[in-house]
Amino acid sequence: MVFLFSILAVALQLILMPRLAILGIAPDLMLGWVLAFAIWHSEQKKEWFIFLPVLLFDLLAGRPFGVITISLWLVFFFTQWLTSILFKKSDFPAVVSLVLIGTVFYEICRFPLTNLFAAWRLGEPIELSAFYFYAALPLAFFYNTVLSLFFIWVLNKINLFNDGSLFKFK
Amino acid sequence: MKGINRSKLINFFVILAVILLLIFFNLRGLLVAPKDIVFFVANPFLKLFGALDKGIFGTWNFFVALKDLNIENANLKNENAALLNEVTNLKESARENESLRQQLGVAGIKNQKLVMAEVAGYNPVLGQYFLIDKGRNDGLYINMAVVAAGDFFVGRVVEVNDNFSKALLISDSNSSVNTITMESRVAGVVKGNHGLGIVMEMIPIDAQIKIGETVLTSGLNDGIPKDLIVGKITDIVKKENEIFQSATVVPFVDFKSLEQVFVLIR
Repeated sequence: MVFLFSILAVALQLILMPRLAILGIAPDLMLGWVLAFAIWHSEQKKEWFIFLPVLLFDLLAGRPFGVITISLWLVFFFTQWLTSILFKKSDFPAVVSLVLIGTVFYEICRFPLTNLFAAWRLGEPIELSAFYFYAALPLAFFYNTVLSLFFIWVLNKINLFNDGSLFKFK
Repeated sequence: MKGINRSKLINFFVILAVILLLIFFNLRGLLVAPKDIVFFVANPFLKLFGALDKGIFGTWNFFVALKDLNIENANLKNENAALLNEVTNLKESARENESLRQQLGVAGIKNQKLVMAEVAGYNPVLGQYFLIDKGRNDGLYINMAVVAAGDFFVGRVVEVNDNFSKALLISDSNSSVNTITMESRVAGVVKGNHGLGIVMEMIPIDAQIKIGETVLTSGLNDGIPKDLIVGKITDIVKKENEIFQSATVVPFVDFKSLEQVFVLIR
């Protein structure tokens, strides 16, 4: 089941998400899902739910392979840790702040890793430019906030793990 | 670590170790088969979503295009008349060219073999890449040119697996292709502009290029033959005290709506 959902998510990301791109920046389902899963309060979270879709996506579309998986895994762990120590009251501003921190942290992980792989001629480096700061990053933050809120809402609605400790908005 | 229990910390390091191991396997070329399996499983879903995308966005684009149909029709009629005249002249030139080749004993340009590939997916999140459903088994190699129907240059192959490949679009910031303008024969380098368009750079400041000129590949890049059509110049940017000028180039094809492409096999 997780595998099927992962494949569906990968297909969605590769076919339909590019249609929603603004200024060439498309929503990132994987990052939105990872952030939502990290912020969502539940004791029975299974790491497979984020690891498998991210790995499948990376195998299929990642270039160079490994950058997305490792960056998103670090983002998941870091955001989950922040959620548990800083934002125990998971209300709307806290979720938005966590998404912002998570998005920035993802870029911080992705940038040196991509450039490191590029040095080995395994991919193309990320070129930092003004466009990246005034357009790409704010748009990525906007998309991730919308996606994360949507995924948290879905997780609450379907009560995926049925453990009674679901995240509630105030 | 405060806020994280021991088992979660162990999980984190175990999965991190697995990822690093997978990266190592990938460097050794051991992930080709898993990648092909993922593509094999995902391909039906990619096609299904592709059909949905075509249905939904195709219909939407049709209605959006309706309002500009009259203006576009008039423009196309004018363009058609101009092109008819140009085709007649070119046919005459081609005949002369063929006759001269025969007299001089020079062979014509050898036609390149093309492999048609379906665009399986597009990922603008990590750069301007798209997946195509042909790979090493079909004779594809890294750096081969990818074109749309009509010899319109689209990009080049940057990663090849057994049954699928990744192509880097010309509009990616990391794409850099040597080009030449068709009429004024001015050389330059076409680079991507964050997926938003393409720019021809490194044009000497005193070179006389014209708006509306067609830009072609110059054949100086490995794997990219000359005379593939890149686009049309729509704007020229000249700045004082600079030794180069640049030009905005608009491609003739919409990369996002590509369904089939051709890979030029050497």
